[in-house]
Amino acid sequence: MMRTPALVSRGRAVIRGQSPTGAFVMAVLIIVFGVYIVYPVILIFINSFNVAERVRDPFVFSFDNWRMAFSDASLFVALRNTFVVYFLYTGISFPVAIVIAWLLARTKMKFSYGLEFMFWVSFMLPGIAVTIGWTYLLDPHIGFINQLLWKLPFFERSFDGGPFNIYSVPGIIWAHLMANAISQKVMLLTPAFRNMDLSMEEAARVSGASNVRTMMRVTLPVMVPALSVVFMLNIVRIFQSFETEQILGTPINFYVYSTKIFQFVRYFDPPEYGQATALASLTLIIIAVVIPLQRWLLNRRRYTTVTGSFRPGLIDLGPWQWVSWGAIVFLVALLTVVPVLVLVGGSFMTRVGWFNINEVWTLRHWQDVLGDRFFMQALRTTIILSMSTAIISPLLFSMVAYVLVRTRWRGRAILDSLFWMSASIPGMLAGLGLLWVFLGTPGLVAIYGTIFALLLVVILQGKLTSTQLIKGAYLQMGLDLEEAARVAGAGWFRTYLRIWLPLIMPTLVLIGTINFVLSAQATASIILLASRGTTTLSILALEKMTHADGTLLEQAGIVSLFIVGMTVVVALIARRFGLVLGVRHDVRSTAASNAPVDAGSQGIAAANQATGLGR
Amino acid sequence: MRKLALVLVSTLALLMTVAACGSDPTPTPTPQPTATPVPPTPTPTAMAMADNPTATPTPEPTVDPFEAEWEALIAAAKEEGKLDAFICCALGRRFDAHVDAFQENFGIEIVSATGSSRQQADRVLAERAAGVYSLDVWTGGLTTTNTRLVPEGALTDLRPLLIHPDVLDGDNWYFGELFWGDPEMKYIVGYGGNASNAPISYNTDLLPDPTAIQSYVDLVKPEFVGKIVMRDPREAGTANNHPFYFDQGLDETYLTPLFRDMEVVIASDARQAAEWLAQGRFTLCLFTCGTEVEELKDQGLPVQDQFPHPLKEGATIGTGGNNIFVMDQAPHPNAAQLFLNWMLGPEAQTLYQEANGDNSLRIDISKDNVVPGNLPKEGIEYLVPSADPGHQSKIDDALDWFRAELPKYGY
Repeated sequence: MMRTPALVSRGRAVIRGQSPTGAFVMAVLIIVFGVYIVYPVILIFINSFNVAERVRDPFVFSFDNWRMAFSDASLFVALRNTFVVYFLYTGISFPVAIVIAWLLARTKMKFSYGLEFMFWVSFMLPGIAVTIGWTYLLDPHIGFINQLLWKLPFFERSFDGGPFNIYSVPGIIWAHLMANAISQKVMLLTPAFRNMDLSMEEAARVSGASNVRTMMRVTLPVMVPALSVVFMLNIVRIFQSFETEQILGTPINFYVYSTKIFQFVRYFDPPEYGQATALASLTLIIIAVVIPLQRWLLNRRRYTTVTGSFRPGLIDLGPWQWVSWGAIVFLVALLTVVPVLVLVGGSFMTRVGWFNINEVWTLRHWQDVLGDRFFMQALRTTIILSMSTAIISPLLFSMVAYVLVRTRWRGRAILDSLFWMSASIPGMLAGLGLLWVFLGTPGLVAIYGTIFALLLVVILQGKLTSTQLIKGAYLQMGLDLEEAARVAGAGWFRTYLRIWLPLIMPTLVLIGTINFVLSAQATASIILLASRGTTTLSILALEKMTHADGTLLEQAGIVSLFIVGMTVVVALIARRFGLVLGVRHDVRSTAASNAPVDAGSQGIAAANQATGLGR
Repeated sequence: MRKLALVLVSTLALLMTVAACGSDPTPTPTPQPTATPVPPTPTPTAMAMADNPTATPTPEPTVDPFEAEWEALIAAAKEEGKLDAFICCALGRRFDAHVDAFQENFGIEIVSATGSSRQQADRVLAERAAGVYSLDVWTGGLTTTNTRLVPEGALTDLRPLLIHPDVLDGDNWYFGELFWGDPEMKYIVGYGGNASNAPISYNTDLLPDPTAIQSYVDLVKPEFVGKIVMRDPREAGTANNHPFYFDQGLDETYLTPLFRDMEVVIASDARQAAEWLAQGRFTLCLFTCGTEVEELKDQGLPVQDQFPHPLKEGATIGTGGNNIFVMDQAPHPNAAQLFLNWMLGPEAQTLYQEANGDNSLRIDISKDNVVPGNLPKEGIEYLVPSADPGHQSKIDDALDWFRAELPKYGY
């Protein structure tokens, strides 16, 4: 029997009204995520008003932590520095990433999937390896590039060395760009650009618009959901990045807001968590702006690009294709070669970057790491955690995103705000909050110290990025695909499985990979929850990095290599899997842009298949 | 839509079930009873006497009460089978020899972790507040211990646990007795004791004659402007020696001019500071660059981790991160007591010296494996700042001073 679906042909929502089922689902989601996300944040904030001397003393309320945190005159300089650095590297990386994503996704770029994957690899590389790698190239006194330049007749070595100096504001910007400011954005934006309907661009060109004008007037406007998500995900974390500034900024007394937060935790014993929380609370102001802004952006128009009449296809740039190809290859080399050389080469050096010591090359670091009595156990735990996360997180958050975008159930705004709120506390504080939650919650204390506690944390760790990205993907999908399936009699689950999953598969693969990386590299969120029996590779690497008496950088690098290696293998498999199942736009399908087996008809066919009509 | 609801709720329920049904819950440990001494097995000589009544009677063999207690302790510890330890600082990364030796001697596995003491304290104190006790012993520095663990009652009184005569014999120790690191002299025993003429590392090419510097005040002369790198003295990890400067009245004559006039550069960590020193970018490195500098020196680079002569303000001995303490309500109390006594004994202290070339306060063991600069020298009277009962409050005052003064000069 064919059901009459209560679908809406205009607007984004498929499911309207507040059925009892909807109310129940929303209540469960808000309670579960609310407790998990808000409870630690509340604990951390309440504790910032507690000035009792000892943990076991009764609560002593005071504003002292807040007053002292904001009484530091240098704080406002640090705040200004933060915005300067952020807007400079974002101002560069965002346009560059948009152009690259467009070139990779919308034009006939040779090896575009391979090049896109190299941006993934760049994203997987630890930021600290990138920063340290570039210090060996651009140090004003011993940097290889500077030394090469001094050999040229028109460069003279000044007292301060140079001409390049990584220990400077431009150096910090450069390190951010080379770490993941560009690669992360390319990685997040390319799948959205791939969902662009060729007929829209063709219509623009038929009207006489150039490729650039088409991109500016047609492609970018419909990419607003993806662009706004990527921008907002970055800005809510503005106060959380500190490694680059710590390494390159400290020697020139250039402090940013996050280094101030970091100092309260690292410089004080006991750590001044209350003051760090007070400083971190500024993020709440940003979130208070971001949430309504995003809702306004997404509600003011439709952003559907994939409909039943969707035609995939690629644009030919003519001779500019090779120029842009060369530029992207060069950038990919910059983004990946330096850190990989530092990680791999450095692992065989007694001291990475030092060629004038007694014993330049050694296998000792590999022997030490592989001989570490906890290495194999850490590897096993990491694989279990990361694989579970890579599979469960995308599926879970795709359903949550569906609820947020495709239903009109009341409470969606609260649920969405909860996810954004999870960005209000930096990792170093969130870890402590989670420890308190686990030790203070009867159901959770039972799994404290076991791998299940870590699993719960890492699965939910990427909730904000995952949900927001999948929301963006859903917004690009037209309702007619789901309508076709529902008209054909498919239930929600079958429609989800046969229509949505294939259509958003590239995004899910991306989310799975991101969650794998987040899980494999998780430290702050799990370090206080992991026991010796559940140590992960990332914690092992951190231990080697943060010894009070010295930094085992080379050994930490080897552990990172294992993490990167695992991630690359998983990402390759996942991409292959995802590209087979998902919508693919390649040169062949475009060549036949007149003929077409396109995603829309794939969707309709899938709908028919789902209901048995296609057989 | 019911299916969406079903799937979502099922997934969340699964996650919550995972949360609620962990297979290996951390049990709240129940302290085991202290080992009860058992009567010693009769020796062969005593048994022979009993079989032959005509033999000349000899005095009843005396049973060494310590041996009995020790054997009983070993037996009880073996019963527990395991020891959970947190080993901070330099020893933490070279602790395998201790783990192997303890396992070999007593058949007890040490599960050791290392890392940041501050984070470990966060964890232990939160666990204790929730009634979870997961750690037995801890080796590390004095600051976290005296400011957080002792006030919170997280440590146990070591005096009744120290039973091995070899450990209790003051003749075996540099100070003629055990070194206690807490004002009450019952929770923390220091076992490391590196001597330091002055915690200043230098580039030997740029400073070929270090004897030109005889006082800290000599470091703030014009020839060293822009030539000094340092770790951030506001960081608690560098603070152990801070009271020394104030005790010697160096705040006005040395510290203030250092930040005001010398254009010193703060490195992001000890490794960066030591590497810049070895590259010749700086002549001097202040505030604890030693271990990294020592490694670079071993690789033939022109650096020295401390001066060959004491400065006129005096030389010091400190335990650094080499102190041991036992947790209150340790889950394996007998293994903890056994480890405490073994760790302060000659075998473990020799291994400790071998690990990093540090000097043990035990004087009855070979010092061949100690880095010469760490050994106390004849004829020098060493100051021991950490022996001062007010040491910790002096550290806090010093850190307050640094945190107030450095921003005045743009740091």
